[in-house]
Amino acid sequence: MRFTIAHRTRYRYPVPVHESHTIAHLQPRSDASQYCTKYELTVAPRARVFSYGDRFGNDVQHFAVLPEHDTLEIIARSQVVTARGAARAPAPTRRSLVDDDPLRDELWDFLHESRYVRYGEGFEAFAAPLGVPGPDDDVVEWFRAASKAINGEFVYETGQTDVHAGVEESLALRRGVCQDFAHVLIALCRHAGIPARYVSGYIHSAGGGETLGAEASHAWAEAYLGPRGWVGIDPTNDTWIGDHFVRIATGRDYRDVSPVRGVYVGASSSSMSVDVFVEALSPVQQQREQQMLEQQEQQQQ
Amino acid sequence: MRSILDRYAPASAFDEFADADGRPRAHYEALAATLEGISSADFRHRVTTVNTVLLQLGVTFTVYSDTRGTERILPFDLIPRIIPASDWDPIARGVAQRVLALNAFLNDVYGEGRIMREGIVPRELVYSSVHFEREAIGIRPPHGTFIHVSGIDLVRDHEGTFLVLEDNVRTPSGISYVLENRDVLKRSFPRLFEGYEPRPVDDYPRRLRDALLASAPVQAADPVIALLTPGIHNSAYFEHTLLARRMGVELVEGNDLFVRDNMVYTKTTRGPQRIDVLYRRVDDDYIDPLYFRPDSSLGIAGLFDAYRAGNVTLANAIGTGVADDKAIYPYVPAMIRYYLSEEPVLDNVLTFDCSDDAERQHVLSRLEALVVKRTSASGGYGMLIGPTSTHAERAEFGDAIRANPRDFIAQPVVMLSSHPTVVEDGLAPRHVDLRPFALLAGNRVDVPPAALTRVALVEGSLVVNSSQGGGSKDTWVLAE
Repeated sequence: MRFTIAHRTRYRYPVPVHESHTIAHLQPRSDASQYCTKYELTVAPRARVFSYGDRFGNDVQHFAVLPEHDTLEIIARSQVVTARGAARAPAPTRRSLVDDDPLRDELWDFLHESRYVRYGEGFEAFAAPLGVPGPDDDVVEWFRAASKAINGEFVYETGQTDVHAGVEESLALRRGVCQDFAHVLIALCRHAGIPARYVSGYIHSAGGGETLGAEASHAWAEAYLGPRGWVGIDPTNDTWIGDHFVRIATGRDYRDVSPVRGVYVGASSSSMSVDVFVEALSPVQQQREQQMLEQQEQQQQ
Repeated sequence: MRSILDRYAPASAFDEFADADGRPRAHYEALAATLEGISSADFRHRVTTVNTVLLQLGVTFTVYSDTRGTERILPFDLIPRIIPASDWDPIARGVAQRVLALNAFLNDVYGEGRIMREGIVPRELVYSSVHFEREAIGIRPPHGTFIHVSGIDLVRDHEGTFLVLEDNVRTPSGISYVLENRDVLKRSFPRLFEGYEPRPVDDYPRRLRDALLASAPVQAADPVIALLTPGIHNSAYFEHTLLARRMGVELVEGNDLFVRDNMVYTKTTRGPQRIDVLYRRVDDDYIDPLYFRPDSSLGIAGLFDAYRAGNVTLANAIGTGVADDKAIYPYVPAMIRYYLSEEPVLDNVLTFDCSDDAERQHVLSRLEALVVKRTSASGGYGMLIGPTSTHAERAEFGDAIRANPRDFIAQPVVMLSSHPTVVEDGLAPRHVDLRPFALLAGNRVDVPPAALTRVALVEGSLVVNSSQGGGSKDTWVLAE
């Protein structure tokens, strides 16, 4: 699928601030299953934007606004093509293949607790019914069962947890947003010895039915399932990751990939608003594209 | 006439001054002769003079000492510690070798990670270190230099063999004592120098400056250095002012600096001045609120971006603390062999790793005979000295070790060497250590003959840290 995305973040400061430094994780990734064909970050007041690749392979932008300002607006516009096909389960995979994977030693960070993924009180009780897959058990099935358990037990509700909520807090409430669902799933995986990481991105309602999280940036989890590589599940909608998902960044948890964060000198309070528009090419447009592609292929033959 | 040396009687440890028969060692003979010629009364007078000189300087020390009292002034002891060239040469070689290996280790763990992949240093120990800065993964500092300044703590065992007790590769302090102690002793007791020409220490600031200049980003044509201090409340503030003054560089605090377009500047009356090398005495955690502790007011927002972009040299670089984590320390000899294909010149003290099941059992079964240290602590804090500990203290440490094995190592008690030290009624043996400093730029290590001797002023004590009642001595490295 082909998407056009606009992601606008606005800060207002009741008292002007200065020397603000901001980091943005807003650039969709280009990898085997999706390609970001266009990306542009604009900032008001104007600022020179710098980019670097972080250790997770994300492209990160940062910029500074040194003079006094009372608003800061960051708009990321991108175009992305996804090519993962429909959401479906990978082939069954024995757990022993995950444990024996040569890459495992280098995935230390994805096998241990991190800032927002701490097991904490109440975790053991929640994790117990799910069990830990044995060497001959299918980790694909287990991963899906973990997602199902969260999806069944948790109520999706905004305003219950803030962005700094950890696993313990969302477990106590049994409610939260996509970020909380993802953190709990990651905790279940890591606790069971299966490497897991956080993914921030977008979801488009083209997936059909009631799609939760489509109004803003979304989050889900990926587990490293040996020969299958990194496999994603969205526990908020309890689905494998299909073509209507766009991946922006991956990390240990929300902290590594928060869309926009920064520091500034001045008043301690600010208000923030975020608007996200994810637009897919209409079915008619997509059909036309497909025809064009086929024609091109035929010409090449 | 009764000399103050008359009743000097070393106990069980290796004594720096006297040999097994109680006679002064060759390199102490001239000093012994001088001391023999000084009456107890005259000596007491000298002690008073030194105290007066120190009091004049001490005003500076006291005003800026830490308000929480965690680090106190190292009281000055009048009797110098003398190191002959034959002892110093292997020390300098051993320290240089160690620093090169530790620097190679940092390039590796923040780069390819070969030493972990090959299982020589367990990844678990590196990744579980509180000082392993993940943000620094993939960043190669200018010239690959991480450890521009280090202090390697050495002790001598009962046979007089120098051993490395710990490495300090974050922001080691103490050089100001080396510089001040020499000044004070020369001014207050010049007679002690008769028959000696100790190698000078006062060129340390120039040598530090040279190392910092050589570490500047290659694109900096005429590099500008600044020294970043946490401010007047820091226990080492006096040292920061002294080094800045003697190097002729600006002393700055976080508020004096800003980052624009990935470049670091100081605010001056003539407008912004670009900074190429920041000798920072602020810990990693506080260096940039954008990437590390967001509540830090000591650092500079965006500094880490400038560092990543290669536009500023941070001395020391970000993330060096993983190399002096005490759980990593047992692996330093292996690092020397791995990276340098050399045998270590200086040995480690035997160390038990509490994260290893067998070694932990061994440690727990004989706590009363061991020294237990917290892997992330320094400065003599968080230690258990087995032989002098109470039952309750050992029980407390035993529980803590079982709860968090990774946080502890244990070592046999090393009977540190002793040295004549001024006490109420003359001179008595007190335990000492030695901290040589090393300056690294690229592949070049400079180990100036300016080392700090710390002395445990309490009789029998083996803890020399200033926070634990330690003092310091002027340390003479001899040319030949």
